[in-house]
Amino acid sequence: MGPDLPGETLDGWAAMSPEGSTSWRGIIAPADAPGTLKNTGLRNILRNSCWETYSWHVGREDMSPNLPTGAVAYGFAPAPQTVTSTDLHARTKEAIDRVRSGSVLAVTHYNEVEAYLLPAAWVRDLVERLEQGEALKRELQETLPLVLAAMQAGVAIPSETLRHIAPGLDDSWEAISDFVASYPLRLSGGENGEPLTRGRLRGVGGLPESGDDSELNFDA
Amino acid sequence: MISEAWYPHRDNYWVAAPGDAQRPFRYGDLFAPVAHSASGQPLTTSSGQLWHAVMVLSPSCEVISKAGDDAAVEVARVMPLAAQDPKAAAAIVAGWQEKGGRTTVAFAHTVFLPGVANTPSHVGGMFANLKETVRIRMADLRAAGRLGALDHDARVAIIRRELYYRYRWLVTMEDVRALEADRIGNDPYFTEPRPSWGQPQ
Repeated sequence: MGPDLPGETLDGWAAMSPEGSTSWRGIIAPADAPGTLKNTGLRNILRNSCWETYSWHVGREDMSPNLPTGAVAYGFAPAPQTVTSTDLHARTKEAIDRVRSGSVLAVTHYNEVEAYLLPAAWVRDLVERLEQGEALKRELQETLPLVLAAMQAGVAIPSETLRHIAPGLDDSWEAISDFVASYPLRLSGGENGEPLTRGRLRGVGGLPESGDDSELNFDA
Repeated sequence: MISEAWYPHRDNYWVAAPGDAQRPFRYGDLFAPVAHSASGQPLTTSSGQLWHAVMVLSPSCEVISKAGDDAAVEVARVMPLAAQDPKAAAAIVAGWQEKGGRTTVAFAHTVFLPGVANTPSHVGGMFANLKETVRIRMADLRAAGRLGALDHDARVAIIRRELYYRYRWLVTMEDVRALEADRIGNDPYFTEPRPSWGQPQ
C-alpha cells in the first residue's frame, strides 16, 4: 500500500492505517468538525479551526475510530523499519519482499541511515509529484500577480483563489471585462487542464473560390 | 509578453452610430432574433420566448456579395449573461478561469459580447453559444435588424476564439490580425471601410 495522497479526505481512521501497521508518521490538518481522538495533542489540532499543519508521530492505539469525516491527511507513510547493510546483503530477498508489501526500510551502516528502500511505485509517485509541484510553482508565479492585481482593483475575476481571499468584489460584467482586457495573461491549459497546442499562422495569399449554395441540394 | 487574453476592451466591439450604418453586414455582427430557421425550426426558449439575439457566423462575403433573400446565413444563438450563475458569467466574460493556480480556458464554446449602447433590450452583457448554430434566411435576418456592427479588431478576437473552439489551436491575436490584414489588403473587392491595418498592399 502506498502513502495516502496529499489532501486526500478520509472517511475514518481505518482509511489511514493499513492492516498490520502500528505506527504512522504524518501531518494532520484540522477539518471543520472537532476531533474525538484520545490523544490530547491530536484532539487539539483537530479542534483548531485554522489550517496549519502539524507533524505528529501517532500510534494506532492513540486514535479513536471516530476521526471526523473530512479530516485531511498529508503524506502519510509507515514509520521506516531499520535494516543493517550487513543484513540487507545477507537477506536481500526478504528485505525486498517486505518493501514490496509496503514497508519502508532504513538501511543503516554503523547506526547511521545511509539509504532508504521504498516500493518502486512510491518512487515513481514521488517523482511525478515533484514534477507536478515544479509545474504548479511556475504557474503560480504567473497567476498570483494576476489575482493580486484583481484584488487591488476590486474586481471579481473568475478566480477560485481570489474568491477565497477576497470575496464580495465587483462581479459586474463591465468591471470584469475592463480588467481582463487590460491585463496580460498566459493560459495554463485547456478547459480540462489539458496541455495547449500553441501554433503560428502564416499567410499563403488569397485562393480563388467557386460554387454557390444554389447549385447544391440541401434537402436530401 | 504577448498576452493570451481573449477579448478586446468592451468599448472596442460595436461600431458607434452613425458610423455603424456605413458598415456592411459581416461575420460577428449582432442581430435581433428571428422566429424560425431557414428549415422552419422555431428559434425560441423552452418557455416560448424568442432567442435573445443571434451572431453571424457565415464568412463576411456570404452576407455581402452572395446575400440574396433566400441565401442561408449561419448564425449562433446569443444569450444574456444575466441568466447565468455569476461565477460562470465571470468565466464567460474572461474566457478563462483560475483554479488551483492554473489559468485554464473556460467554456470554449462561448464568445463574450458586451452590451450594445442605445439598444434598450441589449445593453447587458451577452455571449454567443458556438454549439448552438442554425441557418437563417437572409431576408429574415435583414427584417429582424442589426443590433450591433462588430468592429474589425473585435472580429479578429472572435475568429481566434472560434479557431480555438473548433480545432483547439491556440494562436496569437497578432497572427490572426496579420492574416486578416493580408487577406483584406489583397482583396480588391473588399467592401469599405477597411481597418487601419488592412490597407491595400
